[in-house]
Amino acid sequence: MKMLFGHSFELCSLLYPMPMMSLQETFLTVSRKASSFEIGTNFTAWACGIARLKVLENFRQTKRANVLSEKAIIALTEDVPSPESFKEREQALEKCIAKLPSKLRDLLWRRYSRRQTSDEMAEALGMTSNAVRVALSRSRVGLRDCINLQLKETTGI
Amino acid sequence: MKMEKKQRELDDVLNKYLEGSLTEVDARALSTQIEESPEVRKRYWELASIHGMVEQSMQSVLLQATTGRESAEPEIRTRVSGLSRIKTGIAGLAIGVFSASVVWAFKLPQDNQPQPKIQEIVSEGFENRNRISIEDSL
Repeated sequence: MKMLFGHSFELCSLLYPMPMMSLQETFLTVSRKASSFEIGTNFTAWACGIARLKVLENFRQTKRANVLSEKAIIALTEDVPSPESFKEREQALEKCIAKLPSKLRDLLWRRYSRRQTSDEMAEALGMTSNAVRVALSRSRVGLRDCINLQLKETTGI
Repeated sequence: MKMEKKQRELDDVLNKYLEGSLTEVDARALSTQIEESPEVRKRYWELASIHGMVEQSMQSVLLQATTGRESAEPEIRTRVSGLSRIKTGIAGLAIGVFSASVVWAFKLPQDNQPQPKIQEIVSEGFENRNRISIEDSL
């Protein structure tokens, strides 16, 4: 149950990219409402349903509504990759990060570790914000393709 | 070719969503695509997991750097650790020389002074010399 809870929560954070504060609030709400979960139903969908409400609340406050529909979220939770598959991808990731050009690695470092915005990175590196966004997007796609290739090589599929 | 372009556009939309910069209209369009296509759902999870995993990886490197086990930026680490090793060596040497001179400075005048009469102290006892012991009286 503990593992399922952690895994589901991680998945919800991937379904609803949200700021750290609302992530923590969502975690608290999901923990408090854990007793109302009906055994035998989809736990991830249930937990993500709560996350969705929190995100909508957050978006109402910030006047944004770029959130996926409930139907889309349910469809995604039904196609969730297994924890084993996540593990395999995670192992392949390290090698793929090492293969990235140092400039892209630096961008990822700034984005995910220092939590810099595109504007902040652009200012620090003398790039335009759009160029930063495109470079970040390319590096993620590059990592995905590299991981897929590695998994293909190891499994021989 | 057309397929590749479509996939690139989808990747772009997915990345924007994961970055939180998708417009409301685009979010609705993406929702429909996700509801209808297992392929889109697969691509979603592939990119979403990259976001999650890279974040986790970078955060753990940062955590290692803050707890002092390992520096986050390897190139800087090599330089910093090299410098700090030299600094530590110099500081250690300076402390050593200083402590030795302090000890030497205190020790030298003591060496020139006459030695206290150890014999007297040793021979002195705590007994009252005026008291006649029981053994003496017997």
